[in-house]
Amino acid sequence: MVKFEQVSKVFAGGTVAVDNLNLTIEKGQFVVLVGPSGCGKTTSLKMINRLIEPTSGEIYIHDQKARSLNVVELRRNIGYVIQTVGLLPHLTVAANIALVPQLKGWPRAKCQERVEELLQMVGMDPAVYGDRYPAQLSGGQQQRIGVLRALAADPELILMDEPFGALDPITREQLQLELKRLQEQLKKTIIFVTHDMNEALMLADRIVIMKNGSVVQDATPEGILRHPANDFVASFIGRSAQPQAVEELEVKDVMNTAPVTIEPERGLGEALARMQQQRVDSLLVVKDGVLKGTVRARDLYPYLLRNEIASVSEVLSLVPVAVKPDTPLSVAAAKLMDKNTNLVVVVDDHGELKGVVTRASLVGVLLENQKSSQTTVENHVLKAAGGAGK
Amino acid sequence: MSQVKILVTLNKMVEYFAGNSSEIWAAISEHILLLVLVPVGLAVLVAVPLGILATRYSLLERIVMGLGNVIQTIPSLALLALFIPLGLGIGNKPAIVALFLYSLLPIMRNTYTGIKGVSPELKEAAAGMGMTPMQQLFKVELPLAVPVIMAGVRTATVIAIGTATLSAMVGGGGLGRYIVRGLQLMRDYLILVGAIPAAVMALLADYGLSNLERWATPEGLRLYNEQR
Repeated sequence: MVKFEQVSKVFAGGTVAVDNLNLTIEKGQFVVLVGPSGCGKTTSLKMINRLIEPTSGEIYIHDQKARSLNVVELRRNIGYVIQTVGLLPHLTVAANIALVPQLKGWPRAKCQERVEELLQMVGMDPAVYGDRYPAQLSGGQQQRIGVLRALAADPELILMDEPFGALDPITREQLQLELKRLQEQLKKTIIFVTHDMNEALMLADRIVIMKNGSVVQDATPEGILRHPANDFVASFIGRSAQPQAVEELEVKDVMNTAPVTIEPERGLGEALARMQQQRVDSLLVVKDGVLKGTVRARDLYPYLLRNEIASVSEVLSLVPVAVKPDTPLSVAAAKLMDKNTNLVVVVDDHGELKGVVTRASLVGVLLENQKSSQTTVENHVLKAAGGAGK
Repeated sequence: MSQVKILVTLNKMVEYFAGNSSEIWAAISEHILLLVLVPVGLAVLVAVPLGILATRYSLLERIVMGLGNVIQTIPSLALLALFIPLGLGIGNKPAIVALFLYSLLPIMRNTYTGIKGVSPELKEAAAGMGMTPMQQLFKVELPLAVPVIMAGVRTATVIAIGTATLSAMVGGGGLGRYIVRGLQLMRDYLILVGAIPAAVMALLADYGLSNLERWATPEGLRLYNEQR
């Protein structure tokens, strides 16, 4: 689809922005170019639609030399989204989306149809938003329109230059998810530039990490997480607060710090009510912060059936498994499995209750840890769904 | 005593207006049409393209902006008189040429500034979508520069209305004729017959054109500018 062959770009003044870049991007891939500012990622992107011309080397698009193609035609066939959105402020949302189709001479009715289809695709009502101006939209909505504008003429290739960089974190994540969904649905080839490693990990099929105009590592998100090519990549991943490896986690990293508790002098009826309210089958008995034991629902029933009045202290049993906050998570997990219990209690050296680790929280950690690779998560989900079906 | 004199003068002026209304209306319309609309209109036709070209070629920018500045620096009366010996004779002709030259700079400069003021990101987005340079100009740069260009036209018009009164000095028509005649005959009320309508016209033109400027600004652009 796109091929860089020994491409270099030296700017006036001698700055080498891109240094002998070789890169082949296949059709349908979601490739993220990532790296610190000045690494040449944006320059590489802009050389594809010839907003910047390479100093040497050749870029091929569909096996044709980019520089041999008519630049206007080339650009009309490549979607382009930029960080500052770049919607034309004097045109309505509909007119902005229809820009490239209009440039390509689509009939008016077809343009309008396409605009409506695209707006509906991102859940924006064409009747409400079509006639608005960009200034009347929120930042997130504007960038949705920016993405739709790039999709409008149905190009096979879309270039995105830090499109979500200026958005607040919540909106950004929302748009990332939408983009990922759109890409899976539409199977476009997307080349996406960002300096945010988390964004790259979330979106990419393939990540190309760049530094000083060259490729440092080119691999799947999982490949990069598992086998960083060098210290630079490792620190780049580290800096983006990538989830820790499971092996390194300790109990305190994952424990639930607010388990459901009860004081020993409380009545059994109250204990039962609290269990029902919190949807748990056992309570931890705590006096002045110190763990005294646990009380299980099944221990309560005999008393309640006989209508006896008793306090929690009379029925509590000892906690089967306890660990310390700095116990490795793997040890806690092993105990969970061994004792066939639902939770492991975490206490410190003075016997004070610090939290609990449940089976559910372990699953959460594992999923979180695999989020690094979207496909892996999906595989898990698929396997889980398949397993449940059998 | 002076108050009485002013009242007498005003009274004479009103009488003169009433007695010579058709002649005065002719002077007003000559002032507007021949000495303002013609030179400013021609200036728009020349200055807007020059301003656009100046944004494309920096050499041209230096030449036309430099020339415009030189013209603007020449005292208006001197510029009016300059064209008499240059073969245009006396009358409206040298006045129209001088007023045209005088209007060029504000329009040219504002066209240049307006287009240069369009954000580079928008220009890049337009180019990146595959607009030809002409499409970028007509679909993006000019619509976004309209308010600034219109402000230049307004400045040029108001200057032209005022300067046009001087054209009577070179034998031209318009309201300036009353002012010159009043000065020559030492008739205060005649000066006012020319000066008051000219001043009112300048104010009205300023007001009217600022409304036109707002009207010509695309709605989305107005919202956009308000936000920034």
